[in-house]
Amino acid sequence: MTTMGSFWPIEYLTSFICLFVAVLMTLVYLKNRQKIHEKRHERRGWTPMVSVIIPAYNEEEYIAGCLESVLALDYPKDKLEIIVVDDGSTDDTAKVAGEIAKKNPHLWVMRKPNSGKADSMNQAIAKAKGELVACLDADSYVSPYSLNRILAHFDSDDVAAVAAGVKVRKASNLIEEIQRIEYLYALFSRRIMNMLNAVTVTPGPFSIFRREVIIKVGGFDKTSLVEDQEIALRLQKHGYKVNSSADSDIYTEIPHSFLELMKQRTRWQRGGFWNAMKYLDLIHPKYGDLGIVILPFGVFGYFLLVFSLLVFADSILVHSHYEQFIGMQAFFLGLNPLHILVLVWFVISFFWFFFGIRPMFKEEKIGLPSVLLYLFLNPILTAIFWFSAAYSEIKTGGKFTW
Amino acid sequence: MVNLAGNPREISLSTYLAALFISAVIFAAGIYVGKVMETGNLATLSSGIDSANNKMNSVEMLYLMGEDSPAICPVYRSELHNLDAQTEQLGYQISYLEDKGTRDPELKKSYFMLEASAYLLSQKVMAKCEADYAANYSTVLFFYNNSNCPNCTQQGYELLDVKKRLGESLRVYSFDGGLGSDIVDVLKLKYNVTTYPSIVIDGNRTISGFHNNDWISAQLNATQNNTAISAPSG
Repeated sequence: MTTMGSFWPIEYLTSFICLFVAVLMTLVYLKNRQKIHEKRHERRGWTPMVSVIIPAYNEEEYIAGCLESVLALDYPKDKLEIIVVDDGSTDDTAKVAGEIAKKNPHLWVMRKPNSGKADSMNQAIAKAKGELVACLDADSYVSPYSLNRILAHFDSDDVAAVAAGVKVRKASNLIEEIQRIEYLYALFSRRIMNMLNAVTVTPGPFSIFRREVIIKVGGFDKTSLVEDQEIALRLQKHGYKVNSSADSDIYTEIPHSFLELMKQRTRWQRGGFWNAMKYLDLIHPKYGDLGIVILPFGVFGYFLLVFSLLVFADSILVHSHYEQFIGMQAFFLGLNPLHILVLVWFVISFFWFFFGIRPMFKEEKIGLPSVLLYLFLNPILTAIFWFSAAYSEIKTGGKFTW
Repeated sequence: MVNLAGNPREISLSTYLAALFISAVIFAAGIYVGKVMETGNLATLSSGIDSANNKMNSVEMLYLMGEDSPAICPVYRSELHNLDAQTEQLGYQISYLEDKGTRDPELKKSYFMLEASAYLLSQKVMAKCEADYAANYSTVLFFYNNSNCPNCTQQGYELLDVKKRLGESLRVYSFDGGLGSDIVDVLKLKYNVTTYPSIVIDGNRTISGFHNNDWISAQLNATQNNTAISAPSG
């Protein structure tokens, strides 16, 4: 009796690497669980001037709600500046924001021709008065306590940015529910990454930066499709730290349908790939765990994806002939040692859910069916989005458009 | 002046080693459990072959008992049909496992013995009870070699397509000529099979080389038409 599939040595090796990283991250979590779950609600008397910059392009539907939430922030008004950057909107975004600005002297609207989010941010940062600048997507809403909770994570001078705790505002269909769970898993894992000084993204909804540092490192990258990831990597390349706050409760609008989600994720995947290529030099021991484990595993993910597609294609195109004749028997006969590792992956994911995510986000109602759906569907969706990203790259010849 | 410490390492060497050890234990346990399941699958197939062998023995017994009685033909037909269905399923399962990388030459040898016996018995019964078998019932013997035949796998898939098209009116018996099975060697001699892949249609026409499913279907139709024309009426 012998076992010999077409790709078995690589299958076993990649499975072992995935298992190793999952176990390593679980150990990191267990070792740091108190710090990961720690609530930081006090900014310790530090009240810096903060400029909240809201780049907006055709956001008339959301801008009023967004501004309303910012105006309700629990923070001294004389220390808060709000800038709406109307990025050449063709709707009434500027008008709606202008009306609100009339009643709030610390809010002003900057109008400019359309040039993208990164450039909008850079132009506003150049004019902002704040020691800190907060980037806020116009379709997101901040909780009154969010600013104080985020500031509490600026715990040393070398912390250049703090990623906000972004959650889904409302989930009323399957696609939205999967994203809601995904955001919570992402928030939780970002807290683990924080313990390793390896936060790789400062999400658009309300991540906060030291203005001086952003200017020093050259501002947001206008050429990147995911500038919020690019800036996080660049800050760390320059030796700065990026922290993450899980309980700042920023709520964002999300894609409502599969096609909208695919459009968003295609952009994320394409941008993420090029960011990874741009910062390959961060894969170095001098960047600590970021350079030793997190980024190498991220790049390995691309190999894993291509390899998984090969194995999948091989099993469908080459090895699927007998399944139709044996029905359900195929499932039982097809089980092999690697499927046991998938089971282990599920066990670890559930462990994170029950001991990490659920206690961390008690206010979020997270049902087991939702988690199961997420765990089953997310890998499939990711593969689809990767196909779409690869197709988009080929179709556009690598040219970036939003 | 801000002191830029960069990204100090937080994961200690002992944590890496612990993760490596735990992963290795889980991995080894996973492989062990997987192997146990694999062994279980093969044992299930083996007992399936035993059960089919028992069924065949009873058909053989029936054949010996009712040698001179044509009235027993419908019983043969029904019993052979069941035996064929069981044997075919076992074949698909063995091939599926083989496609997935699990191979057990001894199991295959015992399967070929079962298949060859079932084929020979069905030939005898068909000859005896010709009227009870529809004219459009065909058999194909498929000889392949897993180790030195680039077209054999694809030829197997082409035959599956023919089988899908013709359903129960076609019975395909597959034999791996590279396993050193005595019964397969005897069949090769009997039907003058010298290369792989080769097929034998209805026990009287040996065709060598790769052929696609359309071509094979056409040959089966042609053979059937000839049979139909030459079959005695009434």
